[in-house]
Formats: sequence, structure tokens, C-alpha cells
Amino acid sequence: METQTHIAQYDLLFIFSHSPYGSSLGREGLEAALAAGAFDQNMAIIFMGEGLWQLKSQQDTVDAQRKNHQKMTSALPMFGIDALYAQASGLDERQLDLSDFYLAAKPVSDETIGELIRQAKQVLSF
Amino acid sequence: MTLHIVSQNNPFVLKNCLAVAGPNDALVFINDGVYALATHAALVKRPLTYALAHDITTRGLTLNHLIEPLSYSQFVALSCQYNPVQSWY
Amino acid sequence: MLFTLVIHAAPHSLLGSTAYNAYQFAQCLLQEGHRIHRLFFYGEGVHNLNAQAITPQGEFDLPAAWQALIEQYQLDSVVCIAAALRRGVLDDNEQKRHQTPQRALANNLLTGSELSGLGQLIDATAHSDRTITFA
Repeated sequence: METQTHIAQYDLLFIFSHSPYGSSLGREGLEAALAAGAFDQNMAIIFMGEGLWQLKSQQDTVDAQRKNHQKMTSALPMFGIDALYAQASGLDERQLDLSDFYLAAKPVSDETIGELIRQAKQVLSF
Repeated sequence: MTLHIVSQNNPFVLKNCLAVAGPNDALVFINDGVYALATHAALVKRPLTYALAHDITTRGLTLNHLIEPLSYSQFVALSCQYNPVQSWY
Repeated sequence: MLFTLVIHAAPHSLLGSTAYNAYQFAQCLLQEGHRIHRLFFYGEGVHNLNAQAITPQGEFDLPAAWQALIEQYQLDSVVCIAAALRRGVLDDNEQKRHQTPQRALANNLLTGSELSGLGQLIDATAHSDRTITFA
């Protein structure tokens, strides 16, 4: 867990709290985030709750004939989006740790997530 | 301070909302979110907790003596007073 | 105060629909003298502006109500084009573009709204005092 002294301020904060394949929210949230990246927004993404599953590596969607969420999400750094946060308590609940992820995300406490939201100008939740 | 809107009665969503919300953040329960208030006694005692009056009466609930029922006009006023607005669902 | 509303909820969906909440919130804030920078219909929310959704007699017709509100206040109402195409909500251009002899398509986006890209959502958040998601 980080020792929190300074909380970053973002103009646009995305909160992803839904799994990648259970609904269209995962994909549509990601597309919105990529659009924000393309527009050079000062932005970050927080993955929390079921949204943490979006970062789980080794997604193989060939048999299911679904569009691969991992592949799409892997494009975030290419769009200049590298402020990625992961809810630490949600990781523990799901027996996940950062080595399960295909992108680097910074683990943060629920308190810090609350502060990131308070400091943000706008929040989009998916 | 943040305005948190809760629109579903989902224990996981509610747990995350309450873990993230600070003491000076406001909570507004709308739609099926108002059912959460009917079943969580501790929640209704939290200061700065509100529920949309229309959605309470629609569901046959009587929370009026426990919780501040909000008109849409008051909901709009809260969303002006607080920033940003985060929706939990 | 200047608002952008992001509407993910459809009038009739699996989960409890906040589409009605979104409409009543929009109507109320306009009546109180606040302004709407943009309505952005995304995901399942595109169904709010489907002209082919027929509401049973005697029930509140949410798509018609949105259309009337958009017209009355001359609101900027954008429907995400990618989300709309996937769900069969097309404007005149898209209907013509995708129609084939084997596949008859309807031009069923209610008038007063336009199909456009996600850039309109990002632009709206940058130019509004408040962005509120109804899902």
C-alpha cells in the first residue's frame, strides 16, 4: 500500500467497476477512455470491484468469438493513458495480485480512491 | 466534496461506495438503491444521506421518518452544491 | 450551472432503469434555470431515442418525452454512433449506408438528436460544470 502524501488531480477520472465480458459496460467504458486519451485529457482510470477482472492476463476469446478485452485495454499506454489505479481491497477479495495483470496499475486504498474522486473535476463511471 | 448516487440495491456496490465515501461526502439513493436503505438500519443514520422521494413511494416504502426524502429540485440543488458526482451501479 | 448528462440506461432493460430518473432530473434542472450543455446517450441508453419503440397506450412515453424536451429547450442531444449502430438505432445516413437489397433497415433515430462519436462525450465533460451518469 502506498503512503499517501500527495493526491494527483485529474480533469477526468474513469471508474471501471464491471467485468469485461458480463455486459457491454467494460468495452464501452474502455472506448470512452481511449477517446479521452486521443483528446489528450489529463485523466486516470481506477479499476475497482468486479472491474479488476478487466486487467486479468491470459484472456483468450477465440473460442467464445468475442472481441478480446485484454488486447483493446493493452492500447491504453499507446493513447498516453498511464495513470492506472487498482483497488487494493478488491484485489484481496478476489485473490488477485499485480502479477496477474497485463498492465501496470498502482494499488490504492479505498480512502485514496475517495480522495482521487474528490480531487477530480469530472467522473465517468462504467 | 463528492456526491455519490446509488441506483441499485447491490451489496458489493454499496460496500464499495461506503468504503470510498468520506464523512463530508453526500449519498443520494435513487431507483432500486432506495431498497438498500430499507434493509440497512445503520445507513439511514449516516449524516448527509438522502433518498429520492418518488422512488421511495413508488416502491411502497415509508422511509420518511428515518431519512431525508429528496424532491428532484433538491436533488438538482445537491448536485450543484457537491462536485464531482459519482454514480454507483 | 451547466450540466452534461450521460445516459446509459434504457427505458426497458434488465436492470432497474434510471432512464426515467435521468429524464425527470433533466426536466427539473431546466425548469430551475440551469442549462444542459449536452445529453449524451451511450450504451443501452441509445434505446431512449428509438422511434420504433412503441409505448402501450396510457403509459408514459419516455422516447416521446425526451424528444419533446430536446425540442422545447433546443438541447444538444448526441447519441453515440458506435453504440447506436450495434443496437439498431440509425439515422438517415447510416440507414442508407448499411442497407442492402437483402436487409431492409429503418431510419429510426428520433428527430432532434444526432449520431456522433465519443469525442462529443469527452468534449462535453471538459465544458460542463457537472457531468452526471445515469445507469
